Amino acid sequence: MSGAPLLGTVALGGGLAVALVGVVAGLAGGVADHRRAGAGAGLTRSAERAVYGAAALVTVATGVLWWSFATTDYTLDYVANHTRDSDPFVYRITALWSGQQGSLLFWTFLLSLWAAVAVAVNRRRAATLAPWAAATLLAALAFFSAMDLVAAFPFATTHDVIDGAGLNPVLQNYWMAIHPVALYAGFTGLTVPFAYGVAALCAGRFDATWVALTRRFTLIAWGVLGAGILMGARWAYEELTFGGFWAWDPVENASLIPWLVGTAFLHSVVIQEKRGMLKRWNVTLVMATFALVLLGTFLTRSGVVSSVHAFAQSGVGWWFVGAIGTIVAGGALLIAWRWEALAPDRPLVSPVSREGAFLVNNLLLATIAVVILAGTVFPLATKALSGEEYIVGPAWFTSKLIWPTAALLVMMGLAPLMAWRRAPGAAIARAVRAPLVVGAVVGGLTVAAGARPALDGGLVFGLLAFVLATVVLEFSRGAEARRRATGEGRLVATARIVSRNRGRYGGYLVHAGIVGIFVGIAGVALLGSRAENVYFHPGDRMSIGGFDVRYEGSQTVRYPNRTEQQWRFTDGSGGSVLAKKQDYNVAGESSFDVAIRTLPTKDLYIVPRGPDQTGDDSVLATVVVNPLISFLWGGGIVVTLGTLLAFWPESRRRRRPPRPSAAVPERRESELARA
Amino acid sequence: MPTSPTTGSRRPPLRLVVAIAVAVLLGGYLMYQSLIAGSERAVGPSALEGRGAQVFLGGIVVPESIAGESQSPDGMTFTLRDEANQQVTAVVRYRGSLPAEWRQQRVMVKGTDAGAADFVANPGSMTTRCPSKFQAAQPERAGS
Repeated sequence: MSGAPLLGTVALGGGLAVALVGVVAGLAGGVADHRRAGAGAGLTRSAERAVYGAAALVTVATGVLWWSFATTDYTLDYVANHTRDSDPFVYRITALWSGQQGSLLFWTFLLSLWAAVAVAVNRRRAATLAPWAAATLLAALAFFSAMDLVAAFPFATTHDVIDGAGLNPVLQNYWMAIHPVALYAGFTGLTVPFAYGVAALCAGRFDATWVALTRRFTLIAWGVLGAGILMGARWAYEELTFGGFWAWDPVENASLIPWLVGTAFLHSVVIQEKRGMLKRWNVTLVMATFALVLLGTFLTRSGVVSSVHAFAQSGVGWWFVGAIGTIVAGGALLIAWRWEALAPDRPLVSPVSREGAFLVNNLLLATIAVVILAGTVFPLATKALSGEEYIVGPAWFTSKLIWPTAALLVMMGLAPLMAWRRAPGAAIARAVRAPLVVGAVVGGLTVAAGARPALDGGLVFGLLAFVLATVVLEFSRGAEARRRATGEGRLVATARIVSRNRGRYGGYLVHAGIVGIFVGIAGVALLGSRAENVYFHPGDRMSIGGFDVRYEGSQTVRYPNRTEQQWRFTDGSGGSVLAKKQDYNVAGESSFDVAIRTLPTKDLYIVPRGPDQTGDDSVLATVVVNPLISFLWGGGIVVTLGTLLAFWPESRRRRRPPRPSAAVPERRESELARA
Repeated sequence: MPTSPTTGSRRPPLRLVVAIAVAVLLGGYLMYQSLIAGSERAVGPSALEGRGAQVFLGGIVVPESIAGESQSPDGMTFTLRDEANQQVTAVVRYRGSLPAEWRQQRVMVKGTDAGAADFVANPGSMTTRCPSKFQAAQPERAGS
């Protein structure tokens, strides 16, 4: 009899117990510190150790489950239902997160790692926040551990299993190894800024300390979450055969909404750090981001919404409802309690300023998030209120989001050009002149290239060119200023300003990546071609979107676990692709693989709809040409690089001391004594 | 005397609070109207009423019920089982493209509610739900 069930259960239960003890210690330490500075130091240390201890125990529990998968230990029911002997080893490992119980345990594991790192990195940097932050992180950890034990127990046993059910063939894809990991890492990482935001409110520290302490955590979590979302889009593009990469599915939306609010938070905290403003916005945004993470997980796991990724209906729904309610109610009370103290350090001198632009940015991102949220939960609301379910399709989302998104892109271009405090109209006009010319030229070229509708295409690509031109302008102006001051060459000057202002220029690089993503989206929407359900006999050709597609014929290939029927197409430029149907040896399981021929400026995308029924080697297929879609994926890579650049710390030698106006204040003597 | 809301050093004036509340309510109402106008009813086989309305019908495909060819002039027929009440089924007539792996999944088709015995789907309207958590088989047990 395997010891895995007992060991895993004890480790998980131990992690829960330690987390609960740590919550009490943290809260007590925070209260003691409030009464007398430094009085809670011992309790705070206990809470920090509880974070490390809980993380270690959850890691043991996760390791036990992973080992059980690796060794195909079918005494565990979860292992028996999600892997089999013939599954490739890598998919036995990824099977950990292929079901409800394992993915929740994996979530808890990642959360524990974030918590341990955050506490370890920050423990000497703001002692007044430490007990409250540790308590909040441990409360989140306790919640997920308890849910693992009670509602989604991964160590339930079974017996007499010779071979497992196996991982679904559609999930046997390399994206399964990284897409869920990136999403979960991003979601759980956003707990860190939430915890320190709560800590700031509880401890009465209303400066930018908590923002400065969590900036890198927020940046990495946001970046990883964004990368995970794009990975999901790429996976859908490769696997799901509807020819697109985003279907406004409820679970897709559930990951995008907290990312949008997190984007607003990332921008808004810049204003608090530099100007001591938007404090109320920031605590609200960070609470909202975390609540939306939980809401998204609720939508995915509770089964209330039929969706692409929906887990089977389970008992975890009410857990999440309770947690979301607690976050929303508790957060609202905390913010209301501290409302006066969260007043900005200085007034908004003029709405036409960089501060004003960031405020507009917050409003636009919040609006987009609210619209998506409304469309996503609308079926739930109608079912709850009337008993009948009404759904909105992709067209609704697209039609409602076009204008707020366009306005957001305009702000993305304008905001960096605006001065702090007050941006005179003449200065803005001077700054945007060149980007506007670039935008107008590109818009005109787009119309000439045959975008449909012409006006939409001209406006969209013109706007994107305008934004990109402002990014290039910022790099150019910074490099030119340094070049004049130092006499360095242009390339060296550019490298030096980027190196010395990584946050700023990393952000500009992210903006450039976002432009790339929208170029890809617009290219597919406005310049694409599609031919549905075309019967190809061997030798048949068709011209579409600049490709000369020819069907060469089919062949059958046998593998150890499946049989593939492969249909070969050529594209008229020397390239060829294979569309496939895979029939797995396990009865009833099959999948279609699309054929994608990628060129720098367009993709040829062939979706097999089925083999011919008449026996003459023909195939029914849908042929799509997706112009500029490489920019979408490339833009995602640029966003990731920009995030890494912004994250990368400058050398100690070069770090400037923080400005006294809104940055971290001097530590009190008691804190210095403990450090 | 109320101070400017941008300073925030005093509570915001009542007029501002009322204005924001009205804006939120109005925005919410507009959003609701937009959602109602842009939405369509989604039902399972147990909720079909036979009144001829356009609805989204969702359910689990019964693989052995599939007959005919989707691309032929007469199309194909198959049975959808209600997800909540597995005893209730609907027969669907469908023409058009078939998504990959549709036989093993929940599908949704848009069409005319002519009752559970004869749901006429709009051509090409079938969509599937990705089987991320779908379990294709049971574990093999000793003695089975």
